[in-house]
Amino acid sequence: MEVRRRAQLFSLLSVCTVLTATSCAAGGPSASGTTLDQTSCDKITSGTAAGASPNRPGGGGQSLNVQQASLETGLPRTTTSSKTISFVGGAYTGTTEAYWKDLAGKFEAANPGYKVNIRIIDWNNIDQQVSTMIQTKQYPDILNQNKFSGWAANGLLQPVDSLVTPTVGNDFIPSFKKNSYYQGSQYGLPLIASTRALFYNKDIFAKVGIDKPPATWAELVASAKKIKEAGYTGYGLPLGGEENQGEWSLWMWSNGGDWKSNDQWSVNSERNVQSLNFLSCLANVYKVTQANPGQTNRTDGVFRPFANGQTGMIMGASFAPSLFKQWNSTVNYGIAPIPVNNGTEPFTLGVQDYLVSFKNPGNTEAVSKFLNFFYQTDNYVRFLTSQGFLPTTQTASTALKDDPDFAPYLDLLPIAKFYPSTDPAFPKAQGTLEAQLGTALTPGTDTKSVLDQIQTAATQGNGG
Amino acid sequence: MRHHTWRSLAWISPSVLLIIAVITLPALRMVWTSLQLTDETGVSHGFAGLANYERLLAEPALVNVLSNTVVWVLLVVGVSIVVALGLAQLLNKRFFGRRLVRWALIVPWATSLVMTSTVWRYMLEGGNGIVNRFLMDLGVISAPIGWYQDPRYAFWSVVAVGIVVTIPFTTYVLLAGLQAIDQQVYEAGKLDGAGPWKTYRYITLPLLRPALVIATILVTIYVFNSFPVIWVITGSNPGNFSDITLTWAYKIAFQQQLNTGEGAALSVFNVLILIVVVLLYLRAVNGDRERKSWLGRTWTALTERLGERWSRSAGPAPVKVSGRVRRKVWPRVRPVALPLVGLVVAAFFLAPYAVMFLSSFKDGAELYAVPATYLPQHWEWSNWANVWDVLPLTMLLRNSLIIAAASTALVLVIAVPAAYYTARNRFTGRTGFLNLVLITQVLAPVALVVGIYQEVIYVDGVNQYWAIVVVNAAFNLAFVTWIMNGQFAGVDVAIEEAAMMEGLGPMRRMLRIMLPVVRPGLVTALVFTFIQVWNEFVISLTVFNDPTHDRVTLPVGIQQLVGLNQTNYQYLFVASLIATVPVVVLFITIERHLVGGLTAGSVK
Repeated sequence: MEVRRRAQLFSLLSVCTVLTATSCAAGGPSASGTTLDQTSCDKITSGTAAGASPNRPGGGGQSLNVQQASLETGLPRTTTSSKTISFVGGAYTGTTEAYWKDLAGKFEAANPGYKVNIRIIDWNNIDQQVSTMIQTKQYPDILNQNKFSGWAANGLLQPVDSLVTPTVGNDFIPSFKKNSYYQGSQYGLPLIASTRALFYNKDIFAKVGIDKPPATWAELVASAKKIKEAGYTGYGLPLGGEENQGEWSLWMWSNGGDWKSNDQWSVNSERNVQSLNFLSCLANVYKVTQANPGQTNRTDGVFRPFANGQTGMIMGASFAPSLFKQWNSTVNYGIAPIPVNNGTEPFTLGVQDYLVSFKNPGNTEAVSKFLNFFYQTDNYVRFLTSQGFLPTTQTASTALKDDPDFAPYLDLLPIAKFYPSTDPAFPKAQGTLEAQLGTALTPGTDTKSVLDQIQTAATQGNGG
Repeated sequence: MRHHTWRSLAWISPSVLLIIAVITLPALRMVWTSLQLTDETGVSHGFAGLANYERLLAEPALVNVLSNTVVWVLLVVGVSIVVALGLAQLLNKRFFGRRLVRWALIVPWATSLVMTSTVWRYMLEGGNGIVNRFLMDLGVISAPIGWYQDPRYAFWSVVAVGIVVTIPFTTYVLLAGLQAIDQQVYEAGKLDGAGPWKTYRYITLPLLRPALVIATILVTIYVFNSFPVIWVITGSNPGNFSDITLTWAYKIAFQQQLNTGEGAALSVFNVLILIVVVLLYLRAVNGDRERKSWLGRTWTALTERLGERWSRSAGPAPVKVSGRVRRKVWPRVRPVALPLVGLVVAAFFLAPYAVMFLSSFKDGAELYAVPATYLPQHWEWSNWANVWDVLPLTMLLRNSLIIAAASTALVLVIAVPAAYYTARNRFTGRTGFLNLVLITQVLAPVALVVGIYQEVIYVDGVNQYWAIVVVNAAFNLAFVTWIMNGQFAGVDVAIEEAAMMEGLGPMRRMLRIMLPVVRPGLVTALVFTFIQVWNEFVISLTVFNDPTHDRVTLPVGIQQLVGLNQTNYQYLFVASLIATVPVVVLFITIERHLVGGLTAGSVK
């Protein structure tokens, strides 16, 4: 143990001699007051820091063992079957509840005797509500959430591949389906997806004389500085609790870092410290972001100002155009790939939410009927268009490929990278990240210690 | 009148049963949870001993959160009471428009804390915040400030909002106390030549003390547990800059650590501190009657010193001037000055709701215009029509009305006899009972929700009206018992004695003689309970939430407008106003009784 720590310290020291203050000041055990200055910030994007990359992404990817779960896991049970089931879901928009109530009504009309009780909860409260249900063993028959592996690990979920017909099961886009497995069994049905891209304001770009969107971090800094000088926000950076795990993943991946490396958590890797330092540079050294980026939430703090034409660039999302439309925004914007650093391959962040089914005696038949009903193309497409999300099935993708709101993002799906959400430790890592990452942007904060906290959360269970 | 224990049981056992069922058992469940090892998904993995407490004590944020909590309680309670003393003084004077000012103070009290906090958050935004617009127009600041975002200001912003929302209730309690003071005492003071400060110091303050004690206790508990203010405004801010123990417990349990065991440990800790604080305070205050306690001594010393400083710095000459001003100038200025001050006060407290009202006519884009607009540029009247399509408002209003009315009725039926009996009789366990009741008031529903849910499932009451009614009744039992106990105790026993001679039993005496006498207190208890239930959120969300069968309450239904990616502020504001109007109207109709009712005697 002692030897290993010393070895780590050694490698850290040798890295420090190669690198400048940027990443090692933050990495050193005794460094507390990290100060980022112009020179150290510029070094991040100049490529000179690339040599010390311990964990290039690429090959890592999903090391998950994907296999078609055998059908016999879903053999009908001998217990009496229940025709009434409960559905618990999150309110994506103000119309989510109306959609599910309407669908349940249609389902009950088509399947006399069956009943689906709908309960929709806003996203601020859903974690508390679901946790309460689990603690009191009131498992919902079907749950719509953004995670599943923790319940799967506790043996609370039933494999879903046997619940839906092969037509539905084989219709999912492979990358999404692959991301729905826990230890060889599929527990999640991909429900919705979204992808990210760089949104830039074409009018502002024309006004300040930038002819193309930035493809690298260095270009992004240069563009953002020009935009800032013209009186706009150069880059809208939301590291507030609402969705900072998405923003962070984009910057982390575009610099060649990752959540995990060789199946081990690597949130506080040197490369990631460098990425976080860069965000701090954007805010505190180049000063091209809006005020208080560490406390800014995405929708109100970044999407809105962008829609109002006050911001040059943001990391946009596939559902943003429908929001802009609702807001009657006239912003003239373009969509470009995520700018990268250190020569990273192009990618996008794919986010997917799931439907899972808890093991309640006798619920299999009714759950199966309702899920198959929901994934009928017209019902499913109606859900996607009313809520503004991308499809996770091939049929729905085909059905929506001519829709201008969906088309540009559907093409990005093949290069999508996902959160390591199949790891049961991810929710806690994500929770800590959401609650702490923004504090790293307060000037003088030790960025590494913030990432250390997230690393600790990911690697330590509640058992200690 | 000393009775056997079994006799007193008949009067107080319904209260005790309700408290044990709805509050004590879930509280024990909370303690039990704090000793369990619970994983990130909520599944329990057996006994953990004190591990959760050890983890809690090892949290790096602990010291910061604890100091925030102390500052929050001291500052909000202290400033609210000082300001409320002044406001109560003002509202006790007769002037043109006084009723209007009183009504204005009712609005923040009657509006659900979640909704008030939401509008404050909206007002405190950076670029599009109306507070920034206003301060920049006045030239106080030159660039927008992220009031609730910037870690330097976030905590002080929520403290300020906390103070503003706490003042109205505090003012009403103190106003009730002021009105109970006999005017003849002042006449006597005047004859003895007491100046305004001396009158206030030696006549008003001592006589106001019972009301001040009640206000301090109720406000401390209220402030300690006012989860929504901090939660809504800075809950999604990274870091713990503005967390107090209660919001932090929620974060530990459901957001960051995902450890319900550790969250429960913090809640246990929280409740213990609060109980100790309240009991110490009560003891200090009660003991003061017989022998001067430390609190009484501090109080006297403090006011003595203030009084000295006042007279020293003022000196004889200025006193003469102020005397002349008082006699000559003041009577002429007064008819203008008091209404003016009143107008400013009313405008200040109504401002957030005016913003809410005006914003409810704005379209989505204008809500985020930079800088914020005062008046809507395009009046979107359709917002008020569309909200009825967006939300099933009729159903929501009906459910909330049924539940609020039934809970209020139930709590009065159960608590009033207990309050009457404890006020009139000394019996074994009386103090124990009153302490039990007081302690139930310090338990925040948010900390008990898991245990309550479990019990409601056990009795098959999920999504049933009767279950949510019983739970709501239990949480309001303490306030009603307390207020009514003070009321009954304040009535002269002689009134009852005549009836006793005629052979009326205690139940008839209470119903026929006493209830009419304490009507103001009854009205207060009724309205207060109604409003609390009307605005209750956490419990309804958990045990009464079944849209399929049209069983959702108004606050839960309105929360649906907070979507994953955006909040429809315009609809949220319309719905909030619609939800608030009935309560404010109810309040205003009984306002006169209200003031009398809060003179809850004293702490017996």
